[in-house]
Amino acid sequence: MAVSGSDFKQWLEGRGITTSASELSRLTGLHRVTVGNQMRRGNVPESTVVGVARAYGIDPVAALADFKEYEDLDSRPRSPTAAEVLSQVHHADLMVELQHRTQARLFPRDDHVRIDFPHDGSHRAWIDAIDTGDVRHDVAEKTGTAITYLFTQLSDNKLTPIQAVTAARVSGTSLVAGLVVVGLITMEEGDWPEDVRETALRVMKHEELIELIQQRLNLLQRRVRQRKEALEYAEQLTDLIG
Amino acid sequence: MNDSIYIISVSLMLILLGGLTFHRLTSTRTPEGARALWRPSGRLALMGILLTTAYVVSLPSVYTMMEAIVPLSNGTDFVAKCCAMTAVAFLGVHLAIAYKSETALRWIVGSRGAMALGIAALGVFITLIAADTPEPSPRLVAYADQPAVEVNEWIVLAYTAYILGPLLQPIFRDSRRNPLRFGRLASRLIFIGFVLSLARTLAYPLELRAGPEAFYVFELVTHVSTACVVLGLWAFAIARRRQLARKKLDTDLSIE
Repeated sequence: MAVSGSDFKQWLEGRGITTSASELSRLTGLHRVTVGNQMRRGNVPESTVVGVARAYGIDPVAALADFKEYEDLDSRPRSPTAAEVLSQVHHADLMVELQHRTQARLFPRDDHVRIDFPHDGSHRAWIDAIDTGDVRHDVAEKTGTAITYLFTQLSDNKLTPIQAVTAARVSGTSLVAGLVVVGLITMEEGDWPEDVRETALRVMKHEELIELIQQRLNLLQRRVRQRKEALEYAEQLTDLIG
Repeated sequence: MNDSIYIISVSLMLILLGGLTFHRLTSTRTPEGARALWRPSGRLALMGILLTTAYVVSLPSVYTMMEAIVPLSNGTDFVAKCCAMTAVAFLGVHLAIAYKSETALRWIVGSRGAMALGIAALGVFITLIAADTPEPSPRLVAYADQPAVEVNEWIVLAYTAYILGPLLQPIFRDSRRNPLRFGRLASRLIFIGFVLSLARTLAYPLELRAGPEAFYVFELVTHVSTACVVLGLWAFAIARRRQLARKKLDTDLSIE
């Protein structure tokens, strides 16, 4: 899902920005034909809006809030919850923290969390962190996505901006955090302090850390098993048919 | 015009089928090599040989030559149809085992499958005897208006539908769920081929009403469907030879 071409044109005019595809392509770094096609087909991705906003020094969140799909974007505090922040810490970094707490001398702590996000499974981890009940079904219903397709998107780390915002709307959390998680806007643009992940990790209680690691390892175990089964199936079928 | 279309499409099919079968049998790089026929995947080689034979004997010049040897008038057509139906049977068995389809295994493999092939071959033979076909005519096109020939042709199409029908669902499922993109493409090709083939069977009453001139057009559908299936199988062979599953599907823990 994206914003409509006519809304995008209106927004450009309203903000006094050129509607020329070649000028927009120069500003956003996208190919001229790509921008032209997006406008002509009436389906402009959020990333184009954000790109244009950045080029003109407009706050990307405020820019997106000009469109009806995102009009309530800035209606809640932007800062994420600790659970949301920790969902964006890779299990390897969580285990580094566990190692440090176990034997600080042998496993000294780094200043920074080593693995950036989005990383494998980070979209799913974020949904799990904000899930108050049946957020997946609610998002699927409200965005008109088949639930099985949403599961696939989460497995492939391909949650869309509108799905992320819808999930946040349903669960009552920051509407902007999801956009940071899906990589549409930067941490800075989403008002996430630079060391937010490190801080959240350090203040975590031991039992919470262990529980989170346990959850992530269960997910990892399931993921590895699924991948192994997929490989076995594909190999067996190609061997039998080919 | 129709004759030339027929010869061109048959020749193209011969190049495709003959080439791929020859490659499968003689390639030193494939694990089966020349011993293909003794291995499970040899079913495909056998299918290729039978299908190629069916197309070769249907070529007008070969057909006329064969007619001098075969004791029954237009018996060559019976040979060609038996070869084609046996090839379809081998394909059905091969895919039913590969896709592990319970329904397909029940109906295609074993005594039920053998009986169906036997009944179909007998039906083709009886209808050929019942028809009045004094002169050689590949695919009995010159006698297409005779009821016995119509039934003869319909038996072959119905048998093909009987084999392909139970396989549609597992192939469609795989064309959507195969974790390997190339595998999905291969299954899609096979699925399209099967759908075209079944569509021809279902459209047979239409073909009868359209008259003998339309035969070649409908025959083209069969050629396209065969090509789709053969290319799908070939794609699976490429995936196996290049070990695409192992290369493309990652089971590593590393995120680098």
